[in-house]
Amino acid sequence: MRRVISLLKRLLPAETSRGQFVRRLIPGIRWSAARKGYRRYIRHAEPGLWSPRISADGASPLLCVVIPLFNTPERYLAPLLDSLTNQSFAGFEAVLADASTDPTCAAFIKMRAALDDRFRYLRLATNGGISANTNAAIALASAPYVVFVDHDDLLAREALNEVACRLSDDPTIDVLYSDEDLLSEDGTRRRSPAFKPEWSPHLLLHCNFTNHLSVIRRSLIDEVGGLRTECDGAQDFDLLLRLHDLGRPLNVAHIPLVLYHWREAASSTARSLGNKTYAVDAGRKAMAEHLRRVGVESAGIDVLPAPPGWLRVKPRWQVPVAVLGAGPAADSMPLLRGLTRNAVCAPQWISQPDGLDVSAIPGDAHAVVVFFQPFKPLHPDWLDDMVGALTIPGVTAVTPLLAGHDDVNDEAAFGALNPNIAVIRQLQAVGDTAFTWPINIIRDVPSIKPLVVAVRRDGLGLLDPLAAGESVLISPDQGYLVSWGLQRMTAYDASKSSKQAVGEAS
Amino acid sequence: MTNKVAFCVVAWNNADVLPVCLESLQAQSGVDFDIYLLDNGSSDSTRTVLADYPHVKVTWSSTNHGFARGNNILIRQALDDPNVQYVALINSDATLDPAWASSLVDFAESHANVGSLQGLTLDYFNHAVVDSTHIFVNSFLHPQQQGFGEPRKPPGGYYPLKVFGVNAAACMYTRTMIESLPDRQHGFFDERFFMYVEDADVSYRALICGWDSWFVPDAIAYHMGSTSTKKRGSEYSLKMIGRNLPAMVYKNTPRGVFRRSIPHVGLGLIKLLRVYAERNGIKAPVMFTLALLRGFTRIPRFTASRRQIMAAKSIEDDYLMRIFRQDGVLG
Repeated sequence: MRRVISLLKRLLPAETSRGQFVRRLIPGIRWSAARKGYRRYIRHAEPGLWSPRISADGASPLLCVVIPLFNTPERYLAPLLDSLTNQSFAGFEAVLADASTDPTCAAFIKMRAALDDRFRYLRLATNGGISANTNAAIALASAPYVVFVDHDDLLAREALNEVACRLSDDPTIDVLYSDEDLLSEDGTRRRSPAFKPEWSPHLLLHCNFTNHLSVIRRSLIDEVGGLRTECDGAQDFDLLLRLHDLGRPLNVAHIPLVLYHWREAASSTARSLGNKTYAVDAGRKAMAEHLRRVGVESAGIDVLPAPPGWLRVKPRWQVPVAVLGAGPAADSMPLLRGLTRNAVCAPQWISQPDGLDVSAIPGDAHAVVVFFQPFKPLHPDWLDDMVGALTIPGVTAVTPLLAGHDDVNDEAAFGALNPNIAVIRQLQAVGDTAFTWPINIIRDVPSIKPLVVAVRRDGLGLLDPLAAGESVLISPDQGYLVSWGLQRMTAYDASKSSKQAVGEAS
Repeated sequence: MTNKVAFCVVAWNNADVLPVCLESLQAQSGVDFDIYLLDNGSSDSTRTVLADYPHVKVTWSSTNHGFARGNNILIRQALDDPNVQYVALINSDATLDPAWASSLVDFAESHANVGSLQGLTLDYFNHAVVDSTHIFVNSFLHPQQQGFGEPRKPPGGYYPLKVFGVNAAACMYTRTMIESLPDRQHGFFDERFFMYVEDADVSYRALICGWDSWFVPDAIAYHMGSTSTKKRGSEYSLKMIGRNLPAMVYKNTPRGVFRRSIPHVGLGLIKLLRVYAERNGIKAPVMFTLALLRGFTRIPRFTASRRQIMAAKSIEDDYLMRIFRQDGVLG
């Protein structure tokens, strides 16, 4: 069998078009290979990664698991409650807020809730939607941290222990999130893990990537007034955005382990967002309100075709802007101008063949986009996206995703995405591709190389080291360097005529 | 104290190890208890050994009832005492930590719906090695002892777990479960099994009917392991396991679960036969297959039992499949 596969691989290399054709034709081959890699991870890597068990000290619980329930089928509920009972960490309570309309369902939930004295059963007279039900559960919580769990999902047995370990290491943590994966509808198979990037605040511009497992300090939830019913479907996303808009930096931590198994229930978002179009609308609404709160003008929020539920924000800044082509990029100004359509900002195109000269920037330019190397944008909104992103709070400089030539694409920067990177790389070596989040995301990066960068007028000082050919590195308290992954640019050979390049791009 | 524990020991030619076992039972602290012992017609010096233990309630049998019926006789005797709420089954080659019974009883009293409990059972000869933490039926529909041969985890490494079932080497059942399980006319332990797989059968039945089994690591027991079988030879255990396996699966497995497990059962069988061939020589898999075939011919006898158990079923098929896959740990 192995010989046949290796023969096929030799006949149909992945680089060739026929190899690609066959690989597209039989997606199941790649899919099963991916599953195999994750199965290996579960069997061999995962058991060695759990932290040692910590004992629950004191009488009062550290964590409160809130589960809003609504006509939860028995086959979802029993495993969930047993997975809580069998947690290796004992210092938690669980509030089951039951708004079931089916009396047999409610009776079963009540019966199961009585089996563990850490469970508290709360019967809600009316079903006020997920937000109202969750708020009612949080009101009963006595623990300082709230753990959000949906009624059809499952927790890893070590989940709360990992959370407690992390909280005992750093008691100032406000928000904690972990990696997650999908659980087949019958609950027997795990697949498609999401090994998430380390925390950086601008990742939330895409989606609620800290879900699931989310652990949030209870006092903060009370401070913003809990979840909002009008955002049902994306109520957790809305809550996080409002927490981050409180005006002070939150201490967010990431546990790089799969603690949460998200069931692909027939009615769940895990299977398809088509099940919950209202969830997408709610997410969009939450994001629009967030942008309004932080004072970012936007030309609307699109929904990306994939991954499901991801948003594309289009911040805009209607100001005069200078676009500089320095050194080798000086010749690319006509090309860039040709690739820019209907910009709401007012660009001025300046070529500087002798290298960057900051003094040549016109006095009315609020922002500067500098090309140190010739790059070709692939989307006509490139200029507005980059300039608009500078209006987002905390953003110091913006760089697009530079395909092929990209510092954010290299191993070191990629490693910063997830500390499990060594394990993930091993799995990818056995043919697994589904282990990290896509690289084309908006995220904060530790450094920017002298390639393409946009800065505000007050950040012109950043350009000096870049002009000298050095990378820029700043700490988060000075602001964030953002990689605007939605904007891709490709390097091109400046010696080619710019006309030809325009033709290629369109 | 009204909640009495009844220790049940079935002995068959175990005079050499019996004193160690009985001493550890008598040393139990914190609980009120009685010791019931059935002698399955031993031909060794069991009678003289037992003369030293006047408090042990001994039943003498002239024939060998096997493990299943032997324990059923003892359990019936024990439950005649209305104060007995817990029945502890102790193999004659097992010994207990003095706090074993009180740990389990405390745990059972503080939890609802407890059907059976097991402590951490260690190897008698090497306390750093685990004998079992619980038993379960794996996705091959084959009973398996969890933790066997593993090094014991450092203190704090174990925590109470809701599990598939308990190993009858040293375990405790609650009176309410014993009295409520379906298919009682063949005994709590199915007497048609004689010996082997009957504890998995009881655990499986209890799980299907919605009772909780717990692994409670504070209770520690020590097990020597199959001294009775050594006297009979491992061939005997192979034959009995092979014979009883189809019955156990047939009695307790819901139809949907069985249908979905067929591919695994096939693979598992091949794997098992290979293991037997490596461990016990080429004769073993042949013998095991013959025993299985014999087990299949016995299946019709269990139809009535199956019907009763399935009528009392209260667990979802999906969840059962999940438990098979994750080493018999619930959740």
